[in-house]
Amino acid sequence: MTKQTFVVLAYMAIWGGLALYVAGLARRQARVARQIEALRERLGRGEE
Amino acid sequence: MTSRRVPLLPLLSAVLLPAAVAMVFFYAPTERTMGVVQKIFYFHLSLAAVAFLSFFVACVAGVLYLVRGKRRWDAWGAAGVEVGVVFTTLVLITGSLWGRPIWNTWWTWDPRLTTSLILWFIYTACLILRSAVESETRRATYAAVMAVAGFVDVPIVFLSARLFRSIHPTVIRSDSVGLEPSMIATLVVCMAAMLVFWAGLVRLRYGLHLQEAELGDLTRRLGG
Repeated sequence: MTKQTFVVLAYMAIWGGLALYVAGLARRQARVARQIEALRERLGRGEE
Repeated sequence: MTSRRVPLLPLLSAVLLPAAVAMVFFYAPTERTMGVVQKIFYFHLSLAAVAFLSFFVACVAGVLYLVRGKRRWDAWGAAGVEVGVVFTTLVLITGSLWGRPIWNTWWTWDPRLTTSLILWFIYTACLILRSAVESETRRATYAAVMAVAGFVDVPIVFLSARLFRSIHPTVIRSDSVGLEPSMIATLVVCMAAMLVFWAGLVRLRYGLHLQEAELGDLTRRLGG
């Protein structure tokens, strides 16, 4: 492998890794928000 | 933070991060001995700096949780540990990719590398602990103790290349910085960009932790 290849791999690891982490966080946040919304609805119906 | 507010940190990151990458490749000169591989260093060091900052946040939040017992300190601690582990993982990967062409090896048991790996193990164990304990209070207490105790390794990692015989380069010394002025400017922009991005990530993870805690509360209310 040439020196350039190591630089490309390092930058791919940095931005790929960070992008995956941010995407994972966003997905988790969306899922949790949906679940909270559903549970609040159920609680609201129960109190009625 | 309400959704109407301008997302300042993501916007700033979207400007600073491409600017930092552009400076690395188009402004900073190519180092004479290492060649183009030295360009890994700018983000390697920035990632390491914010990883240390993450663990510092986790340590302070851990102390505050143990003293005050508030859920928000546990959330800051969880955010600090998780983001810190992500950044330390990237530090180890980029360091290895720098080491292969320069030292002719992917890994060596140098004091800086070894202490960094120990740091990664300590805080990864803290993450595993968080997912293993069921009770929220016990989980938060154990994680806080581990985050505080684990922080002892951070100054050891920082000083390892200075105190012990190490082949790891020390660019920033007490009396000087071993870089060209244009390289220093690039490094400063990279560190600023990574700091802003890190702050956004920690804030995001903190919010998610609070949401997950709220979800737990709601589930318990419905279950009981």
